[in-house]
Amino acid sequence: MKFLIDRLAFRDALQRVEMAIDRKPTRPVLGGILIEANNDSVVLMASDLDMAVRYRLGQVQVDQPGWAIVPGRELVDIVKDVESETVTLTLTSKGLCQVDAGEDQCSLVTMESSAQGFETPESFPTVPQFEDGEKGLVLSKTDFMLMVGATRFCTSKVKDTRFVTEGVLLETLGNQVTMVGTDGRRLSCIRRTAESVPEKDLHSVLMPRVLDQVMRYGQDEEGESLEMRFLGNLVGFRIGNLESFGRVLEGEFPSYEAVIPKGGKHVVRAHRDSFSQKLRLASHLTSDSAAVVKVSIKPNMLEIASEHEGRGRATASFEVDYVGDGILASFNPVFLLDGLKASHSEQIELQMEESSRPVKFVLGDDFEYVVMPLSMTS
Amino acid sequence: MRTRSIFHADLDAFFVSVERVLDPRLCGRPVVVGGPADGRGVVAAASYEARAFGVCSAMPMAQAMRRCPGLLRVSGSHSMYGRASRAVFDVLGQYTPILEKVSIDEAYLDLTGTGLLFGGAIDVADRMRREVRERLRLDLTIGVSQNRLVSKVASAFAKPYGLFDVALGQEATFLAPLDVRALPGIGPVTAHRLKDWNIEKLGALADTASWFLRETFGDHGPALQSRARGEDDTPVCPPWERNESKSIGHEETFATDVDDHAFLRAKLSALLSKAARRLRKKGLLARKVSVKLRYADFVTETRDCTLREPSDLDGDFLDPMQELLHHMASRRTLVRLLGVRLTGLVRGFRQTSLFDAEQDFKTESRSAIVSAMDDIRDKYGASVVQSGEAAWLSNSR
Repeated sequence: MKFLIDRLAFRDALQRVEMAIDRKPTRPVLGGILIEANNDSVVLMASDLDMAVRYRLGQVQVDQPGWAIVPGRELVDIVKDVESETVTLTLTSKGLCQVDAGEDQCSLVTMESSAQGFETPESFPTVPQFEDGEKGLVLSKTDFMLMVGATRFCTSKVKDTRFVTEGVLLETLGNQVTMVGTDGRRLSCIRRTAESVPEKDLHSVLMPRVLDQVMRYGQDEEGESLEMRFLGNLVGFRIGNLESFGRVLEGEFPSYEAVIPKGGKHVVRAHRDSFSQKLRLASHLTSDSAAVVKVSIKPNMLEIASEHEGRGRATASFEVDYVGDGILASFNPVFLLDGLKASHSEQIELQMEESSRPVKFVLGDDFEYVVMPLSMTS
Repeated sequence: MRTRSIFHADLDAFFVSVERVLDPRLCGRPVVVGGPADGRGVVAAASYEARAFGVCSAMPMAQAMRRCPGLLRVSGSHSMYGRASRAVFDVLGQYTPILEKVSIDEAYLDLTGTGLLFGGAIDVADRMRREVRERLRLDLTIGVSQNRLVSKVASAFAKPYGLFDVALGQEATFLAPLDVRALPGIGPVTAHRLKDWNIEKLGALADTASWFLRETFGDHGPALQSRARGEDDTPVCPPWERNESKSIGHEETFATDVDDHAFLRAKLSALLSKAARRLRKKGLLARKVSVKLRYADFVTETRDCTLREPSDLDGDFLDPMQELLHHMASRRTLVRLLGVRLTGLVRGFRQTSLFDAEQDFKTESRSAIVSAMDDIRDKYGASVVQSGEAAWLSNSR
């Protein structure tokens, strides 16, 4: 194996597979990157069994095909730090992978390698292929990014005993795709139309880590759409040259539809930026361990009050579009701010039934965010 | 700095004195308060007659009985002591609102600036002692000085039924001849290390070069020295400035060491139910739970876990605690003590959950059940309503 490659392109490619390198590998290969060089392209792969990434680099000058599994972390760091415009990777007869970068030279011990043949490396976990012909779920890239951005922040950081809420639920019904994220205290739900859908309706909980990876690197990939394939217990994402795979989380996702209010007595229209600015102001005077703001809605006015015992209190108010009776409810300001930050439109709508019931925010087209209030203990 | 007038009031042999008020036959005889000699009873308080035989607090009861033939033991009733203590502090509270209760039988009082109202410090202190003796038949010792530290040492010095005033500027002179152990903050270890350097009296400690103490005791050294000179400016903290309690806990040393996991689990549940009830009484929620385990060889292990949401319901605490206990009780050694503690206390608000509403067992209804149980316990006693495990425990006894 020997090829010459543009260093920056190689570095970017390595960064894309880096997230799938196991930091504490139980088997050495899980901490490695598989490099396959053939004809005029190089394919990089990494897998930690939960998540896998394949990245194809075209237009590479391959002098000698072959493959090698090299220590992942080290290769990424080396290519980041060398300064030359191009690097050459060569597999030596002693099984070392030599990295030549201008005047600098490093050689990495390979875990397994082959100088000629294309027989697949046995020890490396299988990374599935996107086979042509099958019908996957195709979404516009922009929509996909919007949907993940609208739901990912809501997912639970800790394991719930009853439900699997660490991931984002993906559901299709006909052409309509729904994504839902929740941590049991708030929930966000967004719907978009797919460009094409598989024959069978989907209902899967996607692993957050792979979504983060696709969000981070998918943006720069060529192509306007993203394809998703469900392969057994894996879900694969393909944008341009990037293919990412993640485990589908097992377990029951809570029935989200039941908890989204269908409307409310009190409907308030407010400007997103004033709302978040006032919220931030009030949240300066809340305690870290138990942040509370009291939101009180009056005709044409929304007031946010907070108090930090022993520090002081704050009241902030701004004009809103509301007619009706006054209502008061308490919330964790972080939950409200998170939602406003994710909002797609400048004007938001807030719907409320009563102060002990969930409040629903409409934050854009087909984008709803539900927050449970805090209740006063007796 | 303005001259302060700080009192340290300490009740003499408090538990015993209260018992003597209730039963005058105990007067003039060696008496201790504490658990029975079989099992693990320890001396909670000893009368001065008993102390003459070398009986002291925290001594195993069996040993106390051996040391002092004819020793009388009273089981003691804490609620009674609490009432007596409140009565004493009510008397003292008439002189100043700045009263910091540090234990059931001790308090610091700040009488700075009351000279015109009540007269000299000595007179006030003497009036306090007489008033407590006449009205409650309890003996009170008071140490007076211009700071907490010296007053505390003075009251220990003046016991029993004494009164000692350390005049302004005489603090170092007063402390100098005393043994280093007399200073609060010097325990057996520090005292031993000081003795290695031939420092046995506070005067010697006060005169030692400060660089030497810094070398030997680190940053703690110079502080130790300034205390030995009687310097202290800690204010007396009145009740309204006191922070709210930071944790609520219960622990129990078993009568005999155990290795029975079912017993430990049940005990955990019983201890937790006590702690959670106190938490609810105070209207607080706890975010963190911890479990403490002490083995027969005194190896102590503590583990904690943070809940997703603060709560005050036994049910929310029990599962994580059982989980902690399950991971802890792993040594093949008998267990001596089990304790539970609720920390990260916050007041006021509970985050409601989206999916509880779907469940049959909502937080609200659980809360209602628990508060109904608390009402029943308030009326008929704590053991009337128990969790299954705790009930099993009291039945199997």
